[in-house]
Amino acid sequence: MTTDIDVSLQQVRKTYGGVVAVDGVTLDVPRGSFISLLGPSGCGKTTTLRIVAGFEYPDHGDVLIRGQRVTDIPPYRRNCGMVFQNFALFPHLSIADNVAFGLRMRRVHRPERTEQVREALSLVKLSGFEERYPNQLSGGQQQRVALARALVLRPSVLLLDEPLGSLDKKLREEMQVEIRDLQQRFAISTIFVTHDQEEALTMSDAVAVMNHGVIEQFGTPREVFERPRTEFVARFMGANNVLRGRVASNESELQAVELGTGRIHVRAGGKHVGDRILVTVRPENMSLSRGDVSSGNVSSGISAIVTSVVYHGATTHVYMAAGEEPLVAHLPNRASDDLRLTEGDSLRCSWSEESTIMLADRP
Amino acid sequence: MNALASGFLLNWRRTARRSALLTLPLTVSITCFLLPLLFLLVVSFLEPSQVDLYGKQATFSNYGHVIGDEFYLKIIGRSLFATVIVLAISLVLAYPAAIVVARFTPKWRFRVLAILLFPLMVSNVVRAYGWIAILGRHGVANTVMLKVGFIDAPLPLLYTFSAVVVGLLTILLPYMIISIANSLAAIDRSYGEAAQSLGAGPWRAFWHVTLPLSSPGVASGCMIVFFLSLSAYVTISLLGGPRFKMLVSLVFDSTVAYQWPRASALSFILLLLGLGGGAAILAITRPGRVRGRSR
Repeated sequence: MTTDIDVSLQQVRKTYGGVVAVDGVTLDVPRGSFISLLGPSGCGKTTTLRIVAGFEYPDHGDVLIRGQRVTDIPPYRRNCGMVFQNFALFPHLSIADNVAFGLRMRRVHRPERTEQVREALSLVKLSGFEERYPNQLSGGQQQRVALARALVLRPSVLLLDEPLGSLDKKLREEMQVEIRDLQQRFAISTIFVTHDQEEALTMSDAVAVMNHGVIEQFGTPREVFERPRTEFVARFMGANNVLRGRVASNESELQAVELGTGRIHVRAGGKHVGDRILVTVRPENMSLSRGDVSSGNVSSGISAIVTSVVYHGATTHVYMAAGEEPLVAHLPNRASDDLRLTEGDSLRCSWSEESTIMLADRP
Repeated sequence: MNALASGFLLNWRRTARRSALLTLPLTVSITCFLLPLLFLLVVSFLEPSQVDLYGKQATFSNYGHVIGDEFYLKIIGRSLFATVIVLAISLVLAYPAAIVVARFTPKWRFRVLAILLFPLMVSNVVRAYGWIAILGRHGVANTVMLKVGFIDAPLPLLYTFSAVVVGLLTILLPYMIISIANSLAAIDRSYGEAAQSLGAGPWRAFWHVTLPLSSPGVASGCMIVFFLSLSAYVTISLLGGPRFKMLVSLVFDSTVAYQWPRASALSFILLLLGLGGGAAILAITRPGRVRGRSR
């Protein structure tokens, strides 16, 4: 089984002068899969990547590449292809020499080298750029050269450190597709570091959401987006409505939960009356109506006061306060127009029982 | 059209204002440096004179004299040789030191470089006399070696080629270290890491990436050391003594002997050697390559 795993991190821990950067990360990258490390800056995602590449030495734990323990092997013998945030193309070398660099280090003979460089450049649609220099290329083209330079060596794993961070939005979306295409064509295992959740969701087979040096949740983009397990993951995925409450009563399969300014029904197996509970609901799944909870005859929902209404183009964001808790709902513009919302309005927020996501409560 | 015209005027005014800042330095540079240099060039092509500083007849004989005289050629050769040796030794000593300095945090790098500059605050004359006290016949070095029994009679250390080279090195080494260290510190670490991820071990990563990328610092360091060493006078005359002369000493000697045409010719030979050396340094280090090719 181990041969099917290209990269394996086992209980990897790294501290810098007492500050924990990576705190016991365990992660397997199956052959040919695209894994994203997603999290805010300082969450340890880049350090984790650099540990795989061999630029950082873990204080504890092991790194395995294709089943071989490489923890003590220097970066230049690991065969990891790395693409840096600033691309790190050698400014004093031509594009062809940049791509040929790794082949030269491997003492590949010139005719074969030239052929492989030609092939790699055509793969990234840069044929004819051989004699140019990095400073003569646009950001997107430099990005492709960096990819070609890494891929030409057929690395065991491709490591991408926020490679799209310095590109503008349109180019970034193009490169997302292109990187994913290349990755699938080569069936090359890839670890992709990013702080952009959309990028991670669209490109990856699996996403590891990191916070404070720990993987908070590992799963498919769908799982991570639709079923966040912790408050951090929920908020990072844009589910900003996090509500605390207590189980008020057990009604067959559903539990009624008191949430301060209202009560909702959730499907929380194993919870008893009086247990603390943490739930989240995505802003786009929330519906609003006039009046407070007591005025409706539906027994599920909470009362909130509008604090501001912001037009966002495709949708309108309604910011509210439910007691102390801030809430936000993304409404279709039509719906918000119909409600004629102004600051200070009393509203009833409700959502379907399937939209309620239970989170692991941390005391 | 009107907007275009006023825009042009605005641009022109801005250019004029900026150029105004150059007026003073340009004036000083032209009147105090360029014109005298031209005057010197003219003098170098004039006959020497018994009564005046220079004669009125044009001639090539000042240059012909120097180039045709084995004494002068030997000293020119020696000057170049000493300069190249100083350059080579300072490069070899400074590069490793610069690597260490460049690894410090900016705050500590500044402090270390300040310490390196500290000896330069002592006058060249004082420093040269310091070396005389160490290297002289009854100097510290000879006394210690005699006491230890390492030698039986004092060695002639002073007034030698080595004494001059050592004296120049102590002045010029800091320039080389500072220049290279600043250049190394400016190299993003991702270049070295990229080289390593592509399979280059530390030595090959250094040779193929770090060294070429530090070429601007190497070039400027070499230039400073080359020019200062070629034109050094105090150190050479004090540590080289009357027998160990260099090109600059000849210029001085000719001047005090009222042979201005010859002194001028020697000065221009020195200038040409300097320019040639600078061109050679640029050709070898190729500092322009770190910018890639211009668009």
